[in-house]
Amino acid sequence: MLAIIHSAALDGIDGKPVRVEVHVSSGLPAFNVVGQPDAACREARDRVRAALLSSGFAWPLQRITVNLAPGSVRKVGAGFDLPIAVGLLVATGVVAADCLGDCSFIGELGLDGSLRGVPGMISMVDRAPTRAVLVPTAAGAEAALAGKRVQTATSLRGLVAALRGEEPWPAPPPPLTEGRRLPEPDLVDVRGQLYGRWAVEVAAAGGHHLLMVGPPGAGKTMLAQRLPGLLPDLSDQEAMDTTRVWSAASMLGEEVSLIRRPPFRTPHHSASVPSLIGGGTYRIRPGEISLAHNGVLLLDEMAEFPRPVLDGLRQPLEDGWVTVSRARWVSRFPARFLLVGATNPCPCGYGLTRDSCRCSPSSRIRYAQRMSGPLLDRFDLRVAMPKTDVADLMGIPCGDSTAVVARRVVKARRLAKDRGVNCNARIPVGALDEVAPLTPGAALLLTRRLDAGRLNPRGLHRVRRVARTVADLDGHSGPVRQEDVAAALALRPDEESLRVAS
Amino acid sequence: MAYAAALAALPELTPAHLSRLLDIDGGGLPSKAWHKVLTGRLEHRAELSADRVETWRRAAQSQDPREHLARCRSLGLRVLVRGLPGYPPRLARDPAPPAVLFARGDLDVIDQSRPTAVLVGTRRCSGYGRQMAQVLGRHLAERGVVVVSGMAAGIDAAAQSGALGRDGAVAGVAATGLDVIYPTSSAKLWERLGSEGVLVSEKPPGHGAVPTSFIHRNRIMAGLADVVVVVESHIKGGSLVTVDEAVKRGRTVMAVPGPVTSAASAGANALIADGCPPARDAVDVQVALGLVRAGRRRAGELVEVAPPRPRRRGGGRPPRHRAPFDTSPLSSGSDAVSCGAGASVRAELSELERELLDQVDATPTRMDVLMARTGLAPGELALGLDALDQAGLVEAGPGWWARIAG
Repeated sequence: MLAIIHSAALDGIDGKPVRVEVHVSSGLPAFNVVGQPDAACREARDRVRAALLSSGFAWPLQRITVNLAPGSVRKVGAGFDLPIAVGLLVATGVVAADCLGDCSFIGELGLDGSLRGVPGMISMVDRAPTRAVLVPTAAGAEAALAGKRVQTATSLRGLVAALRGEEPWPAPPPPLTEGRRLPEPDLVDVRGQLYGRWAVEVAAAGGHHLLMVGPPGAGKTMLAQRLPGLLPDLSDQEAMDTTRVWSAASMLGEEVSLIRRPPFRTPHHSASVPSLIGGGTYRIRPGEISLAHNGVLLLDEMAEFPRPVLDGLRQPLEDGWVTVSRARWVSRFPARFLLVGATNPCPCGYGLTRDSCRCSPSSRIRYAQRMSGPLLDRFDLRVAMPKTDVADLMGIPCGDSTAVVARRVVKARRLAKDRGVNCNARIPVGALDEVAPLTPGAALLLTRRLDAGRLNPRGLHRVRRVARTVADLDGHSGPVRQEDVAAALALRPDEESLRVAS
Repeated sequence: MAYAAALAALPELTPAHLSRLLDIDGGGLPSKAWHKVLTGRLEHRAELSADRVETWRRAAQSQDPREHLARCRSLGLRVLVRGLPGYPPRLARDPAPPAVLFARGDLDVIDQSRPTAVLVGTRRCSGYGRQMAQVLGRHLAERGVVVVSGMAAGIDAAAQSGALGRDGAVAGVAATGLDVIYPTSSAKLWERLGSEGVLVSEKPPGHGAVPTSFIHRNRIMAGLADVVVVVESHIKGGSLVTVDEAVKRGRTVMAVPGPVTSAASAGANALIADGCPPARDAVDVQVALGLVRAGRRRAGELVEVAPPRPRRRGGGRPPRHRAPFDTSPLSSGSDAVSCGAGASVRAELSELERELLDQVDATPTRMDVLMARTGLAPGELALGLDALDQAGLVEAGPGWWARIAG
């Protein structure tokens, strides 16, 4: 007797359709699972047996073979418990095969027969080969986000009753496309640092990577934490992409809804390469850069990160995705994020003005070398933030609140969208002349900086993009003016002047 | 010469050892001293431990002096021995002269007849110290004063880079062998000094940077000096060793006054408090050297300090003003912009730029303070500061701007 149940597996963050074939025949009682199952998958044998017995079904004392097809895909996790159990029930005649309809089954079984959710529900439901999908009630809202018809059940008994038509199906959960909005920190809290605030505004408006260098207590972290609040809500597609990553990393938490606000990730500087970029031993898992997809990745104390970790960021920063390759598997994760770096200028932290620094020249140089030139080059905005005097803290008026700045950011982003790019940082080099033409004065300023050898061609493109953003923030959509270029140049000082160590 | 180079390369050898070897064992002749070392029968072995004599003897036996000379030749170095022709007379009269000297470049630079100023200072200098060292180096070189410094980073490098390329005489005294560039970041400076000035060291090729070699170098610098100028020094700095050596030799010591709040100037300010004459500009140093009569500076006149990078906006002719109190006959075509020129540069500024300039302090002024003071949009502010920077009126630091004196 053979039963074929449809299901899906998670590979990286993508779903893959899987056929669960259950064959029950006479012979010595045995229960084997084949088709590249991992440890958790093989343990399904014990869970399924216990769940069936606890739910009051008989366990067939026959030779049971379960095949997870196709054999080329690695099957990870406990999500095949439910399809195996349903397959057994069909194969032993407890449930008629035509009761199943066009439905896939995904879920983990408890020993008491209860149904539990598994990571990556959205991607798996999305790629399931049927029109409807049955998932545990706890994962119903998450599964519903994929847009397919979702049926839910809380226990194996309830499921069988509903399949046989003895009890009605519970109402399917509505997809939660709007989650509860958590309060975000407001820019009003930041006193002083007018220039830093403005740099954060430019970063938000243009999607430019931002590096802040300053002594402890200058307000770098505080400003960085307020950057996500300035970004507009994610579009439907962006929200779906980000939620999918979070679902695969099982980070969505209890109250599952579509992620509408840009995510904000702040990994500690002890982070390893796999934790930041993605990877893992038993299950390949998206890293922090993918969790920050369409959001902000803050690397606080950036110079304290190991250099291999930082250099691992270079390729994703260019491409917006990362391919993680291991001996047994290859996965591609989306990773388009706004990188914010915050670092001290030197080990003692007070090196922006030489007199107050206690470091030796060699230790300053070593510190500066933690961040490679190519990585530094990818920051469009590099802002040195000397500490604000206490007296100034009292005197300087509060700046605009997050709501006010966010409105300016939305306006600037709309101008960029009208030009066909998501944000100015992604204007292709070829389109610069068309979307960010220069006035003669602006061109002269750039030529002079190039002639002086203080700007390289790659820097030139980056400065032009930032200048476009500065103009957009000013509500100016014509050619980029001289003052826009001057502001962009000031936001990208030479590496040397930033590394005061020289 | 081969023997001199070989003697200098003996292990664990101090300058005093080398001097004694040459004088007592060689009677002034390196070859004779070398043979004494080879046999181990040193005249003054009573002063030395038996181990040391034995170490030298073993080292000498394993080496061919001609190879040492060949190495120096291949590096383009001359080997000079005290008492033999070619040795700089300035050092010959010194109480503790190096017995053997390695040199690259034009030795006439450290000729006795030319006034010589030694600029010393900390490696951890401030922007102010770097600026002063550069300006002093440049102005002294322009006025025919030989500028000597110690090849270290910071003040030394700034003084020498200011002095080079001014048709003046520049000398460097290294603490390492002349093929061991230290710090490596100064490679270009070493190259320029070897070709445009002179580079000397008492250490043989291959000698690395060890703490004692810097102290030995300071003694040579003091020996070369007519006047020693401390540009910037912490309260306990290596520059003060040079000062001690200079005082022992009766040389004039001057110090550049600095902000009393700056740790980098504490040593220099302490020297002034102890009675050292202040060196406010090149004229002060010239007065100390006896090149210019004192008292020519009118009361209330500003100290002569030019911006480090005199650049002009547009293609206009740069103003060439002769400094009002520039009395040096050797000075010609100075491009120093004196205080008078500063005023004319200011006259060319736009209204907005003048107002902006008034908001920039002489001490580092943060960007956000400038934004708050001027109320300008970041773009206008950046444009104005760029113009002032082009005019050489302000300098940029990380996150701040400061007005340049003048």
